[in-house]
Amino acid sequence: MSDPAGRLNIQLRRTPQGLACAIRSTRPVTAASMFAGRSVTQTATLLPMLYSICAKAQASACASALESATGLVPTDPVRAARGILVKIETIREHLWRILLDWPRLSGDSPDQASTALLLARVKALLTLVDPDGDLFQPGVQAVGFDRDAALERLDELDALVARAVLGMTADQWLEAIARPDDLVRWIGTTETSAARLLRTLSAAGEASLGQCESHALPELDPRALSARLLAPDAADFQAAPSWDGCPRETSPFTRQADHEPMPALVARHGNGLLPRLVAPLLEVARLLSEVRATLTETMPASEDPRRAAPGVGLGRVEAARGRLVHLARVEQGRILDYRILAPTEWNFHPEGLLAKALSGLPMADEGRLARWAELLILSTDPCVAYDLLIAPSASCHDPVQGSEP
Amino acid sequence: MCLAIPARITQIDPATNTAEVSLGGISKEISLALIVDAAVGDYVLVHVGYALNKLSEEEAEQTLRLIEEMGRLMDEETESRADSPALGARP
Repeated sequence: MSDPAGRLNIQLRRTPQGLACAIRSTRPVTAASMFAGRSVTQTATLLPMLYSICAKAQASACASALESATGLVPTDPVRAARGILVKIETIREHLWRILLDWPRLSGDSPDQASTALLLARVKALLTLVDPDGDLFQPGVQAVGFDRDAALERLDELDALVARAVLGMTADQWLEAIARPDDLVRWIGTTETSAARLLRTLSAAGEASLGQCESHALPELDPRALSARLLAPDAADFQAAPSWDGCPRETSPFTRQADHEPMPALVARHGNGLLPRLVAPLLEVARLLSEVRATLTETMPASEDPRRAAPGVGLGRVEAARGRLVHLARVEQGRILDYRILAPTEWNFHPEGLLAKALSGLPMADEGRLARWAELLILSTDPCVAYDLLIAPSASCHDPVQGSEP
Repeated sequence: MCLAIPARITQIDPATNTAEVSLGGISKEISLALIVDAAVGDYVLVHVGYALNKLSEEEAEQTLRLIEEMGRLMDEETESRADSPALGARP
């Protein structure tokens, strides 16, 4: 009970061949099986209380899985409103990192005042869109909220992002950084801690650090994914997933890789630190723009719930840190099996993206290695606390730093 | 995973805007910089050293019961995996 959320233990060890990285996790990846025996309604209510870090994404994946397992089809307005809630939550999660953690790495203080304002504005917006708090109950039909009021709250959020992060509104920023040279100019001239961190990295020659071979998680066939999540060794897959024989990445970086100015940035720096840190900034700006479009017109909902087999439903949601998958097997309104596959398990796979990025770092003194490792971990963004240990080959027991929940 | 744990505030230091909370029986210092009107006895959701928001006592206790249930399930699973060499330990 002392650490029920689990932790990641990330070790870097010097070897004659270079750095070796070992990642161990104590995350309770099979905990959702506790919902077996509960009713569909109870599960939809309790699950987001337990998984409260990305509660909207969890609730959305849960509702989709339960609805598809029970043959319920949400209306387009319900799906659109759910999409808004998940996107607003993703914006909040990215900004949390950008305002509290990024400043520390460029010598600034965490921007607690802006973060407090962010939490208050996001909460107000979420409450406006889902005033009765029942939008993720399976089968909910009616959606009624004040779109004009929601747009006003969204403008306030955009203004906060402009002041604290981008230096201009999201739409202005997307236009201003469309070409890589424009982005370089923005990084060089903007006085926010986000731009300062990117400036610090560029000046220190760290923009391309962490480049490694990585494969984006493709769209997965729902029947194949369900079969994998219901196989006898599903727990091993949930703990360290791979697809077609290789670990995959699912993150803001893979989601934004095709959007300007990422392709040129990747051509210059690969999947190194600078493109990885630009991706959540780009995602914040694009999501603000998308939510505004959904509020001003009827934009199609993005998530299509899938029934993998009779009684089995999959819910797939793009959460802040990557794709979140829920699987529910339901009979007569009761849960028989419940499985969750979270993005942290893909990205922090023992042979996955972060392990490769860290083991590819050049040899350096302990201080620099610790800074680079922290930057790479932060840019991959685990949703739990981690311990980072940098050890000489003889010993693995000297903690360099850790992140406490 | 993806969990934030409810904790009850046992002491507040207004000078540093921090609080001492009881988290799973362990005392821990957290920042109150992101919330307003926190008082001793309140339940807050804690994540990476910050109180995220206040919870009603009912909601906090329900969440803590779920976390306890989850902990028992995970313990049983660990024991069952340890007894089953074919499955082995996960990385």
